[in-house]
Amino acid sequence: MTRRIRVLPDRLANQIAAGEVVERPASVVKELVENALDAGATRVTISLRNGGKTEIRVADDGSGMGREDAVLSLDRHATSKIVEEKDLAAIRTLGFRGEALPSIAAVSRLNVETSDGRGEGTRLRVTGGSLLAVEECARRRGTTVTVRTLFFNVPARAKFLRSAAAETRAVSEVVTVLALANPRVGFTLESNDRRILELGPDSELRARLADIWDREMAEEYTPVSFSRARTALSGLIQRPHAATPGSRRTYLFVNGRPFTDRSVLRAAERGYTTTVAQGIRPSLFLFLEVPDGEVDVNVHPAKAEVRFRDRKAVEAVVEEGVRRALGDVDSTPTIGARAPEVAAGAPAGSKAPSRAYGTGTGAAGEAQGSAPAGSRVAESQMSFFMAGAPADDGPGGERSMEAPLAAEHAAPPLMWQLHRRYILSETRSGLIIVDQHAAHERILYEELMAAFDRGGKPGQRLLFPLTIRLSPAEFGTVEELSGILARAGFEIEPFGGRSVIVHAVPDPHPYFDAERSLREMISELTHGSALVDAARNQHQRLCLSFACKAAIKAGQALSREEMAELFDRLFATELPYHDVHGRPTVIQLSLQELDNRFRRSG
Amino acid sequence: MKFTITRDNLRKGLAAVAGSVPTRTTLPVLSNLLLEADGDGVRISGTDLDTGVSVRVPGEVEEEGAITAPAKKLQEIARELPSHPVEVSTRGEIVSLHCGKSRFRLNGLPRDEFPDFPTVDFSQRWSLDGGQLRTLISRVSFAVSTEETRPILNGVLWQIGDGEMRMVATNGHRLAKMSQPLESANGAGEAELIVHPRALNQVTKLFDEGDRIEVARSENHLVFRGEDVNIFTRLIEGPYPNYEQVIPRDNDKILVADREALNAAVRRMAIVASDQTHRVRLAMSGSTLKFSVQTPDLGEASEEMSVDYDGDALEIGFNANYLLEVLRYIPADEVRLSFKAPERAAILEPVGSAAGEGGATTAGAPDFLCLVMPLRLMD
Repeated sequence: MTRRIRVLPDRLANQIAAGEVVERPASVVKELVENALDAGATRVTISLRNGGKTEIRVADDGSGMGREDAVLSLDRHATSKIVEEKDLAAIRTLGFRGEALPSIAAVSRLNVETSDGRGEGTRLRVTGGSLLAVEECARRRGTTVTVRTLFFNVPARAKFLRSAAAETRAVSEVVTVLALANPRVGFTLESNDRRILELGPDSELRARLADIWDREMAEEYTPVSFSRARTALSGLIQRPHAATPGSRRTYLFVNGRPFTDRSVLRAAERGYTTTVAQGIRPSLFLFLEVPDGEVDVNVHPAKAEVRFRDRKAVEAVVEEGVRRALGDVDSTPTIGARAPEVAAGAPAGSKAPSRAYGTGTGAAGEAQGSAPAGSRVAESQMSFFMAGAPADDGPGGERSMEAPLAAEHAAPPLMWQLHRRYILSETRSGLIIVDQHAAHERILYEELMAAFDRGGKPGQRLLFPLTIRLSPAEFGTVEELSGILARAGFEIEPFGGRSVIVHAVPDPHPYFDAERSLREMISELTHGSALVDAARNQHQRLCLSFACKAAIKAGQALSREEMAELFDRLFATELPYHDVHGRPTVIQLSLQELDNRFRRSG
Repeated sequence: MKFTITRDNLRKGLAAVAGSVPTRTTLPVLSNLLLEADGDGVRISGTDLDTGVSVRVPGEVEEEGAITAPAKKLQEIARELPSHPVEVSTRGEIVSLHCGKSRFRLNGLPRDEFPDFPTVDFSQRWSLDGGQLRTLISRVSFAVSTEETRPILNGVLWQIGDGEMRMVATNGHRLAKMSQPLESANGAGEAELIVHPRALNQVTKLFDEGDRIEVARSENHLVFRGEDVNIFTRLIEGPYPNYEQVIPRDNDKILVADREALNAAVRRMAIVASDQTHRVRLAMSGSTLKFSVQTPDLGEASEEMSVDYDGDALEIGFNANYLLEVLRYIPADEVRLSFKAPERAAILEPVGSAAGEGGATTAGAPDFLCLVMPLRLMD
């Protein structure tokens, strides 16, 4: 009886393995560039002919290999990157399996020139996995791998290659990802002697974005920097106002390694909640650093996916990191040039940090509606952000009749209301323009969300209860939501037929039109809208609708005290720079931009 | 037109009408004042169409006539003029001012462009005491609503009845009501007027205690007429909500306390009250009133005071701003608060004789009442 099961010869095994690792020129480039990076290259040059189908060449100035290592590198599972099992849990290099080079060698005509900088270099010539020659050659330190006629011996694979242009695009994307992860390394990508990418060494992320795409695109991003326990998040995220429904770029890296992960992306999107409209997917460049052993990168043959030991913790860091970045003034739009970044923690003019300005009624000190840590951040940030308030015109005797608690001793910072719609105020680096309605939306949203967490908000009883007639659907909404409405301060009872009687309402500001706001809210909650349909639950739905309908309207004249209070409460929120529709609350105009426009130098 | 006037009379006249000139207007002539010279002297008028003020000042009229001139510039000039008689004359649409060695020529607008003041028939009129009117206005008008979609509540209800007149204002959360006696057989009978507080403020500014004020109305306007001053205002169309119905008659839990002590305690509590609701909690039992506030993320405060209280124990919440406002306007040293239940209106009234109150001539407490609706307590 003949044996039917036999061990495959190495060449065949390598060809099969190549099927997993080497799919198309882009995967060859990825493996070779990763090797170059692992070898400590500061410059990597990639050249393609015919989309890489005819030739791929990757040259680096890394550590190179000596003759013996070079020969050994062609053996399967030959690697310098791990020695024993425990190393696998602490992988810091991009490659580690020792599969790449033999797999590529098995399906192409391969030429390796390498030198470790000691003595002569080594040249290896391999065809279809067979080592044809080992020669000496002259070469500076580093390695050049040339892959010709990929899949010449696997016609089935060769047939699946796409057009040269499509393959070039795929290579370009691979190089882009690696270039983003390694901004300190220079990259050059050429196709048929035409230069596609030229990225200088010693760069940083934003400059790299500007080099790969363009400067305006790079300016749309705000930095993220957050860490908790031993998990750190950094990178750049798109400012909410710049995000559009189409064309999104998401790049995730963990310990320098690119990966894809829908739930990490979703965590980042949760961080954007209420700052972008429904359906908007902002672009992200996020870099995670986690301790060895917290991430398993050996899950996917092309290492496209990773497995986190504590996925929830990682997602929490991503969500919170994004959220904090959006709580920073840098996430706001500017008119023209952005003010040069001031080191955080710089002294806040002449005022004490905890009271840079304010109404003196305890508003600024009160951490409204957010985790205490979060609001402290927002507040101290604001204090360094606001100009030291000039105290040249204390309100003195003009005690306002409407609000006896309003400022009596505070000197509010200089503020101007523009067309009863925008508030201008001087800052340390120029001026900010606040949209009074958008700002108040953010305030009401966060205050009501926080109030829900503690059981609700008291309603102001009305002398003259409101009677409101509703459509059947609206009546159903009120019945369904009566519990939540009550906790928001609306005390509503059925009043025969489809009418309801309202005994108590919230009292968010002196110009609040309870009846109209309530009608509009009920209508929006009944028929839906882009705003409320983005909510995750009924509480958030109600908060969004209430914020939008109850906020101070454009057109409302505000006193200085009222403007100061609006600022106090806005900057006590978690995300003061974004309203609930995905619009900015604040736009900055830097002194530098004004200087530019007035052609003042220096 | 040509007249001579003392600098001080010019200043006085301009100051009186200044408040009625709108700061921003689409009708350019409204930023001007109307100057008229006739047999009675000089009359200066300004209006924003809703209210208007016209004052007569002594002056030597050489040539009768009228013109309008920019209000702000006239005032600024009058402020800087030396203490000499001012000669005002016109040529065409140019207004000239000569004072000592200073000369000014301002571009005016013809008299025809200035809106006519409404004509009101004074054969039916009320004759009122300036002090009484001032008292009512100063105690009540604070309570009007600032929310502009219910214009009725932006006004003060002024009821003139047989032997009594009364003002009421509310924003639906708190209400103030005050009455003053009237001599009987007073003129034009009973009326219910809804008047914008801007006009009432002009009344308190331009009329003094002891002045006689004659008031008459047309369909849409109300005019206050004094010896030298006329104020007109457009009436807000009613009807005013039935406030009598919402003033509770059965509040049986009565608390009496010193107004200043109460005010001071609420002010202290308000420091720690929430920005959003300004809620303070009042708990009464025995002869103790306990205030407390708790604001998550900020902290809490409490205070106890001895009061006269007879009634079952009660806890009730209020917006501190509303309490403070009302306490500020209570015209007595002691205040009487009465309650029924935590969700029902509380009444605040002065106790004893008025504290230095002009106009409230009758013995005992002035007829003043404030009503404050509570904030629902959640917990």
